[in-house]
Amino acid sequence: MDFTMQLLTTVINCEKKLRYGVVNEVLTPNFAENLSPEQRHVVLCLRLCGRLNVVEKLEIIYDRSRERGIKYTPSMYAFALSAASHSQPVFQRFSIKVLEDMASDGIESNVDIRKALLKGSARCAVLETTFRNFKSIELAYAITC
Amino acid sequence: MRTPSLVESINCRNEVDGHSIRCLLQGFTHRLWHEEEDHNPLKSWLEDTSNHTNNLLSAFRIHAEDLVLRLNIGEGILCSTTLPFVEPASTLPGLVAQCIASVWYLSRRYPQYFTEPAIYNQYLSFIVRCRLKTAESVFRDCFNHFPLPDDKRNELAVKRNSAGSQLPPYWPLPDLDHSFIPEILPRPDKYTFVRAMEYAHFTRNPGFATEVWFRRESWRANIEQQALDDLQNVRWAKFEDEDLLRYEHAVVDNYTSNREWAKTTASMSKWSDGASNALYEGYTRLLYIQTLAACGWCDDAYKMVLQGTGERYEWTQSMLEKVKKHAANFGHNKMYQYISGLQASGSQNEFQTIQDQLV
Repeated sequence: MDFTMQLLTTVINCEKKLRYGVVNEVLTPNFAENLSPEQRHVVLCLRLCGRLNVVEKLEIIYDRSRERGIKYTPSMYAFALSAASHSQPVFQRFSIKVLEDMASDGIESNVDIRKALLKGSARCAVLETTFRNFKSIELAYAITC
Repeated sequence: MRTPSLVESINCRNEVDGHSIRCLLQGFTHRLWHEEEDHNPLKSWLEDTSNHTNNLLSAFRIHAEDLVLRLNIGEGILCSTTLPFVEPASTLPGLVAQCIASVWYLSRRYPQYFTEPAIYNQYLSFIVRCRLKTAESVFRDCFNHFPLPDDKRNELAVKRNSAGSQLPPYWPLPDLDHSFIPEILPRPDKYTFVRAMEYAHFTRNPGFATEVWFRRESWRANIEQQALDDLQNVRWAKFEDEDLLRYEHAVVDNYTSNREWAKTTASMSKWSDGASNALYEGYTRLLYIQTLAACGWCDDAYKMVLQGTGERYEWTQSMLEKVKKHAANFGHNKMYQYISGLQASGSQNEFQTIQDQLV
Protein backbone atom coordinates (compact mmCIF):
# COMPACT_ATOMS: atom_id res chain seq x y z
CA MET A 1 0.00 0.00 0.00
CA ASP A 2 2.91 2.35 0.66
CA PHE A 3 4.02 2.01 -2.91
CA THR A 4 0.57 2.57 -4.35
CA MET A 5 -0.02 5.60 -2.14
CA GLN A 6 3.33 6.96 -3.23
CA LEU A 7 2.38 6.41 -6.84
CA LEU A 8 -0.95 8.13 -6.32
CA THR A 9 0.69 11.08 -4.55
CA THR A 10 3.20 11.33 -7.37
CA VAL A 11 0.43 11.54 -9.92
CA ILE A 12 -1.72 13.91 -7.88
CA ASN A 13 1.17 16.28 -7.26
CA CYS A 14 1.83 16.40 -11.00
CA GLU A 15 5.43 15.34 -10.53
CA LYS A 16 7.20 14.38 -13.71
CA LYS A 17 8.36 11.00 -12.45
CA LEU A 18 6.02 9.10 -14.73
CA ARG A 19 7.10 9.11 -18.33
CA TYR A 20 4.50 10.71 -20.57
CA GLY A 21 4.80 7.63 -22.79
CA VAL A 22 3.55 5.42 -19.96
CA VAL A 23 0.44 7.55 -19.62
CA ASN A 24 -0.15 7.26 -23.36
CA GLU A 25 0.32 3.49 -23.34
CA VAL A 26 -2.20 3.10 -20.57
CA LEU A 27 -4.82 5.42 -21.94
CA THR A 28 -4.61 5.42 -25.72
CA PRO A 29 -6.34 2.08 -26.36
CA ASN A 30 -9.35 3.20 -24.30
CA PHE A 31 -9.98 6.45 -26.08
CA ALA A 32 -11.66 7.46 -29.25
CA GLU A 33 -11.50 11.08 -28.12
CA ASN A 34 -8.50 13.34 -28.33
CA LEU A 35 -7.75 14.48 -24.81
CA SER A 36 -5.47 17.26 -23.70
CA PRO A 37 -2.58 16.37 -21.33
CA GLU A 38 -4.59 17.79 -18.39
CA GLN A 39 -7.61 15.69 -19.25
CA ARG A 40 -5.44 12.58 -19.59
CA HIS A 41 -3.88 13.34 -16.26
CA VAL A 42 -7.31 13.54 -14.62
CA VAL A 43 -8.35 10.24 -16.20
CA LEU A 44 -5.19 8.57 -14.93
CA CYS A 45 -5.92 9.84 -11.42
CA LEU A 46 -9.52 8.63 -11.60
CA ARG A 47 -8.40 5.18 -12.75
CA LEU A 48 -5.85 4.95 -9.99
CA CYS A 49 -8.38 5.95 -7.36
CA GLY A 50 -10.72 3.26 -8.64
CA ARG A 51 -8.03 0.60 -8.65
CA LEU A 52 -6.76 1.53 -5.22
CA ASN A 53 -10.31 1.90 -3.87
CA VAL A 54 -9.64 5.36 -2.44
CA VAL A 55 -12.95 6.97 -3.28
CA GLU A 56 -12.52 9.98 -0.97
CA LYS A 57 -9.57 10.99 -3.15
CA LEU A 58 -11.67 10.35 -6.23
CA GLU A 59 -14.29 12.87 -5.14
CA ILE A 60 -11.58 15.40 -4.30
CA ILE A 61 -9.91 14.96 -7.68
CA TYR A 62 -13.25 15.20 -9.48
CA ASP A 63 -14.27 18.39 -7.66
CA ARG A 64 -10.86 20.09 -7.89
CA SER A 65 -10.43 19.32 -11.57
CA ARG A 66 -13.83 20.79 -12.33
CA GLU A 67 -13.06 23.85 -10.22
CA ARG A 68 -9.89 24.34 -12.24
CA GLY A 69 -12.03 24.47 -15.35
CA ILE A 70 -10.92 21.20 -16.94
CA LYS A 71 -13.62 20.23 -19.42
CA TYR A 72 -15.10 16.77 -18.93
CA THR A 73 -15.79 14.63 -21.99
CA PRO A 74 -18.24 11.64 -22.03
CA SER A 75 -15.42 9.12 -21.60
CA MET A 76 -14.05 11.08 -18.63
CA TYR A 77 -17.45 10.92 -16.98
CA ALA A 78 -17.52 7.17 -17.72
CA PHE A 79 -14.12 6.75 -16.04
CA ALA A 80 -15.27 8.73 -13.00
CA LEU A 81 -18.40 6.60 -12.60
CA SER A 82 -16.52 3.37 -13.20
CA ALA A 83 -13.91 4.29 -10.57
CA ALA A 84 -16.64 5.16 -8.03
CA SER A 85 -18.41 1.84 -8.62
CA HIS A 86 -15.76 0.14 -6.46
CA SER A 87 -17.33 1.64 -3.35
CA GLN A 88 -20.96 0.92 -2.56
CA PRO A 89 -21.68 3.81 -0.16
CA VAL A 90 -20.07 6.47 -2.33
CA PHE A 91 -21.41 5.37 -5.71
CA GLN A 92 -25.03 6.34 -5.24
CA ARG A 93 -24.22 9.85 -4.02
CA PHE A 94 -21.42 10.38 -6.53
CA SER A 95 -23.37 9.08 -9.54
CA ILE A 96 -26.19 11.57 -8.87
CA LYS A 97 -23.67 14.41 -8.77
CA VAL A 98 -21.98 13.25 -11.99
CA LEU A 99 -25.30 12.87 -13.82
CA GLU A 100 -26.29 16.39 -12.74
CA ASP A 101 -22.97 17.78 -13.99
CA MET A 102 -23.44 15.93 -17.26
CA ALA A 103 -26.88 17.43 -17.68
CA SER A 104 -25.60 20.93 -16.99
CA ASP A 105 -22.80 20.36 -19.56
CA GLY A 106 -25.40 19.15 -22.06
CA ILE A 107 -23.79 15.70 -22.41
CA GLU A 108 -26.02 12.71 -23.11
CA SER A 109 -25.09 9.36 -21.62
CA ASN A 110 -23.36 7.01 -24.05
CA VAL A 111 -22.80 3.25 -23.81
CA ASP A 112 -19.64 3.56 -21.70
CA ILE A 113 -21.47 5.69 -19.18
CA ARG A 114 -24.39 3.24 -19.09
CA LYS A 115 -21.97 0.34 -18.56
CA ALA A 116 -20.31 2.20 -15.69
CA LEU A 117 -23.74 2.86 -14.16
CA LEU A 118 -24.65 -0.81 -14.60
CA LYS A 119 -21.47 -1.88 -12.84
CA GLY A 120 -22.10 0.47 -9.93
CA SER A 121 -25.78 -0.35 -9.50
CA ALA A 122 -25.04 -4.10 -9.62
CA ARG A 123 -22.44 -3.72 -6.88
CA CYS A 124 -24.84 -1.69 -4.78
CA ALA A 125 -27.47 -4.42 -5.38
CA VAL A 126 -30.04 -1.91 -6.61
CA LEU A 127 -31.77 -4.31 -8.97
CA GLU A 128 -34.36 -1.88 -10.38
CA THR A 129 -31.56 0.38 -11.63
CA THR A 130 -29.48 -2.60 -12.75
CA PHE A 131 -32.38 -3.88 -14.90
CA ARG A 132 -32.97 -0.42 -16.34
CA ASN A 133 -29.29 0.11 -17.17
CA PHE A 134 -28.98 -3.31 -18.76
CA LYS A 135 -32.05 -2.73 -20.90
CA SER A 136 -30.69 0.64 -22.01
CA ILE A 137 -27.45 -1.07 -23.13
CA GLU A 138 -29.50 -3.66 -25.00
CA LEU A 139 -31.37 -0.91 -26.79
CA ALA A 140 -28.20 0.96 -27.80
CA TYR A 141 -27.21 -0.29 -31.22
CA ALA A 142 -23.87 -0.11 -32.96
CA ILE A 143 -23.93 -0.25 -36.74
CA THR A 144 -21.22 -2.14 -38.59
CA CYS A 145 -20.99 -2.43 -42.37
CA MET B 1 -29.91 -13.72 -57.71
CA ARG B 2 -31.29 -11.04 -55.41
CA THR B 3 -28.82 -8.37 -54.35
CA PRO B 4 -28.98 -7.43 -50.66
CA SER B 5 -30.50 -4.07 -49.93
CA LEU B 6 -28.56 -1.35 -48.18
CA VAL B 7 -30.42 -2.01 -44.93
CA GLU B 8 -29.61 -5.75 -45.15
CA SER B 9 -25.92 -5.15 -45.80
CA ILE B 10 -25.58 -3.14 -42.59
CA ASN B 11 -25.36 -5.26 -39.46
CA CYS B 12 -26.86 -3.85 -36.34
CA ARG B 13 -25.73 -5.26 -33.03
CA ASN B 14 -26.35 -3.92 -29.61
CA GLU B 15 -23.69 -2.97 -27.11
CA VAL B 16 -24.15 -5.84 -24.65
CA ASP B 17 -20.93 -7.70 -23.88
CA GLY B 18 -19.79 -10.42 -21.49
CA HIS B 19 -18.95 -7.87 -18.82
CA SER B 20 -22.46 -6.36 -18.87
CA ILE B 21 -23.98 -9.83 -18.47
CA ARG B 22 -21.67 -10.58 -15.55
CA CYS B 23 -22.61 -7.26 -13.91
CA LEU B 24 -26.30 -8.12 -14.19
CA LEU B 25 -25.79 -11.51 -12.54
CA GLN B 26 -23.56 -9.90 -9.94
CA GLY B 27 -26.52 -7.66 -9.05
CA PHE B 28 -28.61 -10.75 -8.27
CA THR B 29 -25.84 -12.28 -6.14
CA HIS B 30 -25.24 -9.05 -4.20
CA ARG B 31 -28.95 -8.79 -3.52
CA LEU B 32 -28.65 -12.05 -1.55
CA TRP B 33 -25.64 -10.86 0.37
CA HIS B 34 -25.79 -10.86 4.11
CA GLU B 35 -23.25 -9.79 6.68
CA GLU B 36 -23.25 -13.16 8.43
CA GLU B 37 -20.98 -15.65 6.74
CA ASP B 38 -23.15 -18.65 7.54
CA HIS B 39 -26.38 -17.04 6.41
CA ASN B 40 -28.52 -19.46 4.43
CA PRO B 41 -31.12 -17.51 2.40
CA LEU B 42 -33.19 -20.60 1.66
CA LYS B 43 -33.47 -21.56 5.33
CA SER B 44 -34.23 -17.97 6.36
CA TRP B 45 -36.96 -17.74 3.75
CA LEU B 46 -38.64 -20.84 5.15
CA GLU B 47 -38.40 -19.45 8.67
CA ASP B 48 -39.65 -15.98 7.69
CA THR B 49 -42.63 -17.27 5.77
CA SER B 50 -43.58 -19.64 8.60
CA ASN B 51 -43.61 -22.36 5.99
CA HIS B 52 -43.49 -25.33 8.33
CA THR B 53 -42.87 -28.16 5.96
CA ASN B 54 -40.30 -30.86 5.87
CA ASN B 55 -40.30 -30.89 2.12
CA LEU B 56 -38.26 -27.77 1.55
CA LEU B 57 -37.74 -28.27 -2.16
CA SER B 58 -41.37 -28.76 -3.12
CA ALA B 59 -42.44 -25.70 -1.10
CA PHE B 60 -39.81 -23.65 -2.85
CA ARG B 61 -40.78 -25.00 -6.27
CA ILE B 62 -44.47 -24.22 -5.74
CA HIS B 63 -43.69 -20.60 -4.87
CA ALA B 64 -41.34 -20.19 -7.84
CA GLU B 65 -43.76 -21.85 -10.31
CA ASP B 66 -46.58 -19.62 -9.12
CA LEU B 67 -44.41 -16.61 -9.91
CA VAL B 68 -43.41 -17.99 -13.32
CA LEU B 69 -47.07 -18.32 -14.28
CA ARG B 70 -48.08 -14.96 -12.84
CA LEU B 71 -45.32 -12.99 -14.56
CA ASN B 72 -45.41 -15.08 -17.73
CA ILE B 73 -41.66 -15.59 -17.46
CA GLY B 74 -41.60 -18.49 -19.94
CA GLU B 75 -42.77 -16.36 -22.84
CA GLY B 76 -40.38 -13.60 -21.83
CA ILE B 77 -37.44 -16.00 -22.05
CA LEU B 78 -38.39 -17.35 -25.47
CA CYS B 79 -39.72 -14.25 -27.25
CA SER B 80 -38.33 -11.10 -25.64
CA THR B 81 -35.57 -9.04 -27.27
CA THR B 82 -34.71 -7.21 -24.05
CA LEU B 83 -34.43 -8.41 -20.46
CA PRO B 84 -37.95 -9.61 -19.62
CA PHE B 85 -38.21 -7.82 -16.23
CA VAL B 86 -38.74 -4.28 -15.04
CA GLU B 87 -38.97 -4.72 -11.29
CA PRO B 88 -37.11 -7.18 -9.09
CA ALA B 89 -39.04 -9.79 -7.16
CA SER B 90 -39.44 -9.20 -3.46
CA THR B 91 -39.24 -12.83 -2.32
CA LEU B 92 -36.40 -15.33 -2.49
CA PRO B 93 -38.20 -17.78 -4.84
CA GLY B 94 -39.04 -14.83 -7.08
CA LEU B 95 -35.46 -13.63 -7.13
CA VAL B 96 -34.20 -17.13 -7.91
CA ALA B 97 -36.76 -17.48 -10.71
CA GLN B 98 -35.73 -14.10 -12.15
CA CYS B 99 -32.02 -14.95 -12.02
CA ILE B 100 -32.52 -18.31 -13.74
CA ALA B 101 -34.86 -16.78 -16.31
CA SER B 102 -32.26 -14.08 -16.99
CA VAL B 103 -29.53 -16.67 -17.58
CA TRP B 104 -31.88 -18.62 -19.85
CA TYR B 105 -32.88 -15.53 -21.83
CA LEU B 106 -29.27 -14.30 -22.08
CA SER B 107 -27.88 -17.66 -23.22
CA ARG B 108 -30.54 -17.78 -25.95
CA ARG B 109 -29.98 -14.17 -27.02
CA TYR B 110 -26.18 -13.87 -26.58
CA PRO B 111 -24.75 -17.42 -26.74
CA GLN B 112 -21.38 -16.08 -27.94
CA TYR B 113 -20.59 -14.70 -24.45
CA PHE B 114 -21.34 -17.99 -22.74
CA THR B 115 -18.21 -19.62 -24.16
CA GLU B 116 -16.20 -18.05 -21.34
CA PRO B 117 -16.52 -19.55 -17.85
CA ALA B 118 -17.01 -16.26 -15.98
CA ILE B 119 -20.78 -16.01 -16.62
CA TYR B 120 -21.60 -19.53 -15.49
CA ASN B 121 -19.23 -19.06 -12.55
CA GLN B 122 -21.34 -16.09 -11.52
CA TYR B 123 -24.50 -18.16 -11.94
CA LEU B 124 -22.94 -20.97 -9.89
CA SER B 125 -22.09 -18.42 -7.18
CA PHE B 126 -25.71 -17.32 -7.04
CA ILE B 127 -26.99 -20.89 -6.78
CA VAL B 128 -24.38 -21.81 -4.14
CA ARG B 129 -25.25 -18.68 -2.18
CA CYS B 130 -28.92 -19.80 -2.14
CA ARG B 131 -27.80 -23.33 -1.17
CA LEU B 132 -29.91 -24.81 -3.95
CA LYS B 133 -29.25 -28.45 -4.76
CA THR B 134 -29.03 -27.55 -8.44
CA ALA B 135 -25.45 -26.37 -7.80
CA GLU B 136 -24.40 -29.94 -8.59
CA SER B 137 -26.03 -29.97 -12.02
CA VAL B 138 -24.89 -26.41 -12.80
CA PHE B 139 -21.32 -27.53 -12.12
CA ARG B 140 -21.77 -30.75 -14.09
CA ASP B 141 -23.87 -29.60 -17.06
CA CYS B 142 -22.94 -25.95 -17.68
CA PHE B 143 -19.21 -26.59 -18.21
CA ASN B 144 -17.35 -28.61 -20.77
CA HIS B 145 -15.39 -30.85 -18.39
CA PHE B 146 -12.53 -33.05 -19.48
CA PRO B 147 -13.63 -36.69 -19.36
CA LEU B 148 -12.61 -38.67 -16.29
CA PRO B 149 -10.24 -41.62 -16.73
CA ASP B 150 -11.89 -45.05 -16.33
CA ASP B 151 -10.34 -45.81 -12.93
CA LYS B 152 -11.54 -42.50 -11.49
CA ARG B 153 -15.01 -42.99 -12.94
CA ASN B 154 -15.26 -46.43 -11.34
CA GLU B 155 -13.95 -45.13 -8.01
CA LEU B 156 -16.48 -42.30 -8.09
CA ALA B 157 -19.33 -44.71 -8.83
CA VAL B 158 -18.34 -46.73 -5.77
CA LYS B 159 -17.99 -43.67 -3.54
CA ARG B 160 -21.22 -41.99 -4.54
CA ASN B 161 -24.11 -44.08 -3.31
CA SER B 162 -26.35 -42.26 -5.83
CA ALA B 163 -25.70 -40.06 -8.86
CA GLY B 164 -26.26 -36.98 -6.68
CA SER B 165 -28.90 -34.36 -7.28
CA GLN B 166 -30.88 -35.08 -10.46
CA LEU B 167 -32.54 -31.67 -10.59
CA PRO B 168 -31.90 -29.84 -13.88
CA PRO B 169 -29.76 -26.66 -13.76
CA TYR B 170 -32.84 -24.46 -14.42
CA TRP B 171 -34.85 -25.85 -11.48
CA PRO B 172 -37.35 -24.61 -10.11
CA LEU B 173 -38.37 -23.21 -13.50
CA PRO B 174 -40.39 -25.63 -15.64
CA ASP B 175 -38.96 -27.20 -18.78
CA LEU B 176 -39.51 -24.69 -21.59
CA ASP B 177 -39.34 -25.50 -25.25
CA HIS B 178 -35.76 -24.27 -25.59
CA SER B 179 -32.47 -25.66 -24.32
CA PHE B 180 -31.16 -23.96 -21.17
CA ILE B 181 -27.56 -24.68 -22.14
CA PRO B 182 -26.04 -23.12 -25.27
CA GLU B 183 -24.38 -25.26 -27.94
CA ILE B 184 -20.80 -24.39 -27.03
CA LEU B 185 -20.02 -24.62 -23.34
CA PRO B 186 -17.07 -23.05 -21.55
CA ARG B 187 -14.22 -25.00 -20.02
CA PRO B 188 -14.23 -24.70 -16.23
CA ASP B 189 -11.57 -22.51 -14.66
CA LYS B 190 -10.03 -22.32 -11.19
CA TYR B 191 -13.00 -20.35 -9.79
CA THR B 192 -15.46 -23.01 -10.96
CA PHE B 193 -13.75 -25.66 -8.86
CA VAL B 194 -13.38 -23.39 -5.84
CA ARG B 195 -17.10 -22.54 -5.85
CA ALA B 196 -18.19 -26.12 -6.42
CA MET B 197 -15.93 -27.31 -3.59
CA GLU B 198 -17.29 -24.58 -1.33
CA TYR B 199 -20.79 -25.87 -2.01
CA ALA B 200 -19.70 -29.44 -1.20
CA HIS B 201 -18.18 -28.10 2.03
CA PHE B 202 -21.26 -26.06 3.02
CA THR B 203 -23.54 -29.03 2.50
CA ARG B 204 -21.08 -31.63 3.87
CA ASN B 205 -21.42 -33.67 0.70
CA PRO B 206 -18.32 -35.92 0.38
CA GLY B 207 -19.62 -37.62 -2.79
CA PHE B 208 -19.92 -34.35 -4.66
CA ALA B 209 -16.59 -33.14 -3.19
CA THR B 210 -14.93 -36.26 -4.61
CA GLU B 211 -16.50 -35.64 -8.01
CA VAL B 212 -15.28 -32.02 -8.00
CA TRP B 213 -11.80 -33.13 -6.96
CA PHE B 214 -11.57 -35.83 -9.67
CA ARG B 215 -12.75 -33.42 -12.34
CA ARG B 216 -10.24 -30.87 -11.08
CA GLU B 217 -7.44 -33.44 -11.23
CA SER B 218 -8.41 -34.21 -14.81
CA TRP B 219 -8.40 -30.48 -15.62
CA ARG B 220 -4.97 -30.07 -13.98
CA ALA B 221 -3.62 -33.03 -15.93
CA ASN B 222 -4.75 -31.37 -19.16
CA ILE B 223 -3.12 -28.09 -18.19
CA GLU B 224 0.11 -29.91 -17.46
CA GLN B 225 -0.14 -31.81 -20.75
CA GLN B 226 -0.61 -28.50 -22.56
CA ALA B 227 2.50 -27.16 -20.84
CA LEU B 228 4.47 -30.25 -21.83
CA ASP B 229 3.35 -30.02 -25.46
CA ASP B 230 4.31 -26.39 -25.51
CA LEU B 231 7.74 -27.24 -24.14
CA GLN B 232 8.27 -29.91 -26.77
CA ASN B 233 7.40 -27.41 -29.48
CA VAL B 234 10.17 -25.22 -28.04
CA ARG B 235 8.00 -22.18 -27.66
CA TRP B 236 9.80 -21.22 -24.49
CA ALA B 237 13.53 -21.49 -23.98
CA LYS B 238 13.06 -22.14 -20.27
CA PHE B 239 10.10 -23.71 -18.51
CA GLU B 240 9.31 -23.11 -14.87
CA ASP B 241 7.37 -25.99 -13.32
CA GLU B 242 5.12 -23.72 -11.35
CA ASP B 243 4.34 -21.25 -14.09
CA LEU B 244 1.09 -22.95 -15.03
CA LEU B 245 -1.34 -20.09 -15.18
CA ARG B 246 -0.67 -19.31 -18.82
CA TYR B 247 -1.48 -22.92 -19.69
CA GLU B 248 -4.65 -22.77 -17.66
CA HIS B 249 -5.74 -19.87 -19.82
CA ALA B 250 -4.79 -21.79 -22.94
CA VAL B 251 -7.09 -24.61 -21.90
CA VAL B 252 -9.94 -22.43 -20.69
CA ASP B 253 -9.88 -20.01 -23.61
CA ASN B 254 -9.89 -22.78 -26.16
CA TYR B 255 -12.97 -21.39 -27.85
CA THR B 256 -12.30 -17.72 -27.38
CA SER B 257 -9.41 -15.37 -27.97
CA ASN B 258 -6.32 -16.91 -29.43
CA ARG B 259 -3.13 -16.41 -27.52
CA GLU B 260 -4.44 -13.33 -25.73
CA TRP B 261 -3.68 -15.18 -22.53
CA ALA B 262 0.05 -14.96 -23.14
CA LYS B 263 0.08 -11.19 -22.75
CA THR B 264 -2.09 -11.03 -19.65
CA THR B 265 -0.63 -13.99 -17.81
CA ALA B 266 2.91 -12.87 -18.42
CA SER B 267 2.20 -9.84 -16.26
CA MET B 268 0.27 -11.92 -13.68
CA SER B 269 3.18 -14.29 -13.52
CA LYS B 270 5.50 -11.40 -12.78
CA TRP B 271 3.31 -10.11 -9.93
CA SER B 272 2.78 -13.46 -8.28
CA ASP B 273 6.28 -14.84 -8.68
CA GLY B 274 5.27 -17.89 -10.67
CA ALA B 275 1.49 -17.68 -10.45
CA SER B 276 0.80 -21.30 -9.58
CA ASN B 277 -0.58 -20.10 -6.24
CA ALA B 278 -3.34 -18.36 -8.13
CA LEU B 279 -4.89 -21.75 -8.97
CA TYR B 280 -6.19 -21.94 -5.36
CA GLU B 281 -4.57 -25.34 -4.98
CA GLY B 282 -4.14 -25.25 -1.20
CA TYR B 283 -7.56 -23.75 -0.47
CA THR B 284 -9.39 -26.29 -2.63
CA ARG B 285 -7.49 -29.17 -1.04
CA LEU B 286 -8.26 -27.91 2.46
CA LEU B 287 -11.99 -27.66 1.70
CA TYR B 288 -11.93 -31.17 0.24
CA ILE B 289 -10.10 -32.61 3.23
CA GLN B 290 -12.41 -30.87 5.71
CA THR B 291 -15.51 -32.13 3.88
CA LEU B 292 -14.21 -35.72 3.84
CA ALA B 293 -13.15 -35.63 7.48
CA ALA B 294 -16.41 -34.02 8.67
CA CYS B 295 -18.37 -36.90 7.14
CA GLY B 296 -16.15 -39.59 8.59
CA TRP B 297 -14.26 -40.39 5.38
CA CYS B 298 -11.07 -40.17 7.40
CA ASP B 299 -8.98 -42.62 5.34
CA ASP B 300 -9.54 -40.56 2.20
CA ALA B 301 -8.92 -37.33 4.11
CA TYR B 302 -5.65 -38.73 5.48
CA LYS B 303 -4.48 -39.71 2.00
CA MET B 304 -5.14 -36.17 0.82
CA VAL B 305 -3.32 -34.67 3.82
CA LEU B 306 -0.26 -36.77 2.99
CA GLN B 307 -0.27 -35.39 -0.56
CA GLY B 308 0.58 -31.94 0.81
CA THR B 309 -0.83 -28.52 0.05
CA GLY B 310 0.24 -28.36 -3.59
CA GLU B 311 1.65 -24.94 -2.75
CA ARG B 312 5.07 -23.71 -1.64
CA TYR B 313 4.17 -24.03 2.02
CA GLU B 314 3.48 -27.13 4.13
CA TRP B 315 0.43 -28.02 6.22
CA THR B 316 0.55 -26.69 9.76
CA GLN B 317 -1.49 -27.66 12.81
CA SER B 318 -3.56 -24.48 12.73
CA MET B 319 -4.53 -25.06 9.10
CA LEU B 320 -5.74 -28.58 9.88
CA GLU B 321 -7.26 -27.79 13.26
CA LYS B 322 -10.81 -28.71 12.21
CA VAL B 323 -9.57 -31.90 10.53
CA LYS B 324 -7.79 -32.84 13.73
CA LYS B 325 -11.02 -32.46 15.70
CA HIS B 326 -12.87 -34.64 13.22
CA ALA B 327 -10.07 -37.24 13.43
CA ALA B 328 -10.48 -37.28 17.22
CA ASN B 329 -14.27 -37.57 16.95
CA PHE B 330 -14.11 -40.46 14.51
CA GLY B 331 -11.20 -42.13 16.33
CA HIS B 332 -8.74 -41.95 13.42
CA ASN B 333 -5.53 -42.06 15.45
CA LYS B 334 -3.14 -42.09 12.52
CA MET B 335 -4.38 -38.79 11.15
CA TYR B 336 -4.69 -37.27 14.61
CA GLN B 337 -1.09 -38.11 15.45
CA TYR B 338 0.19 -36.99 12.07
CA ILE B 339 -1.47 -33.55 12.45
CA SER B 340 -0.27 -33.28 16.06
CA GLY B 341 3.29 -33.80 14.81
CA LEU B 342 3.09 -30.88 12.36
CA GLN B 343 4.49 -27.45 13.14
CA ALA B 344 2.14 -25.20 15.07
CA SER B 345 1.54 -22.38 12.61
CA GLY B 346 3.17 -20.51 9.78
CA SER B 347 3.50 -17.25 11.72
CA GLN B 348 5.18 -19.02 14.66
CA ASN B 349 7.66 -20.63 12.26
CA GLU B 350 8.46 -17.26 10.76
CA PHE B 351 8.87 -15.76 14.22
CA GLN B 352 11.23 -18.58 15.20
CA THR B 353 13.26 -18.19 12.00
CA ILE B 354 13.66 -14.44 12.65
CA GLN B 355 14.70 -15.16 16.26
CA ASP B 356 17.28 -17.71 15.08
CA GLN B 357 18.67 -15.28 12.54
CA LEU B 358 18.99 -12.59 15.20
CA VAL B 359 20.83 -14.96 17.54
